[in-house]
Amino acid sequence: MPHSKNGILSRISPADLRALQPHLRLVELEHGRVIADTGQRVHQVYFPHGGILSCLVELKSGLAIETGMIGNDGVFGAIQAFDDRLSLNKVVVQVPSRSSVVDAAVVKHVADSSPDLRRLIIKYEQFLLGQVQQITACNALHSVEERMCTWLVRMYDLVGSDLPLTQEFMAQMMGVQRTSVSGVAGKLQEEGLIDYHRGKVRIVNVGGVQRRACECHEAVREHYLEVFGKVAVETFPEASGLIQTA
Amino acid sequence: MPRYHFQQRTGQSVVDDDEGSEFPDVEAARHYALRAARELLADSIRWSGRPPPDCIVILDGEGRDILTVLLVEVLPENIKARIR
Repeated sequence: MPHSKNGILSRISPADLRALQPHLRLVELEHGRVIADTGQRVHQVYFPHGGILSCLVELKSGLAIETGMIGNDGVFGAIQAFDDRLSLNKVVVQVPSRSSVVDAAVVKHVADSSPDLRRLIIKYEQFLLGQVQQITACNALHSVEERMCTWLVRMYDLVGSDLPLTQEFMAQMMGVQRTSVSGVAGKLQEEGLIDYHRGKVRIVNVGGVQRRACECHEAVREHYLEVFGKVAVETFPEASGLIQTA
Repeated sequence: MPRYHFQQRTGQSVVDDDEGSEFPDVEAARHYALRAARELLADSIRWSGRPPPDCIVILDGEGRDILTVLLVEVLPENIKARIR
């Protein structure tokens, strides 16, 4: 069942899944697609099967910083669907993948009569908030190298070692100059930890990258386990990074 | 717009920039290099404690050196005056 490739859908009760099933569609999400805009109503709820959605805070200058990542561990749009709320942030497809998608109105309807579904969505939202809180501390107190390594490990946990990312993109997400990113990338490459050419990062030695990272990627992983408990391999085999640390 | 590459040099060691960035002219590239220098210096002093590059060398699309920006240039005047 394709929809079980998402960690939230695979945890939904059979009754709730039966209610959602007829309305679930599959879409291909390409890099750069804007799935929600700042201050816009959310019409669809996304359950990615892989890849990464970036949650961005946009500032007046036009710059946008990434505040959270949603992969096949999560969902976007559900909490906004509950009471017809607007998206506070911009959400963009960073790493492409397939996704299950359903109309927000359907999720609202099912959630209105399912405390289990509400509880599950709220749990995920707690985890996402935890990410944002961690990144707040990280951005204030850690070096560019530590932040970037944490960022790379977070992405590795969600999608594995091949990351299609330009330095420009990474710099924007982190709110730093591209030269700071290329300086760190150069060092990591020299040490054989990553391979980085023409907008593609391959993580060669994730342990090594982890050692250069701050504690923040580990904190996020621990939050996930605290919120969701141990992850059963049978229900969520795609979350390889999360499974290995469970 | 022409693409410029910003090489970071620390003593003999060099970090190349294979991605580069587009700027309308050399002057704009130089302004960027100064901003980049400020951040590299600040990150080193404030957070990492590891040496920043000594300078940023701006190269054109053909890999030719155009301009060098020394990190020391971006120090505030009152701090620079102490060094002299």
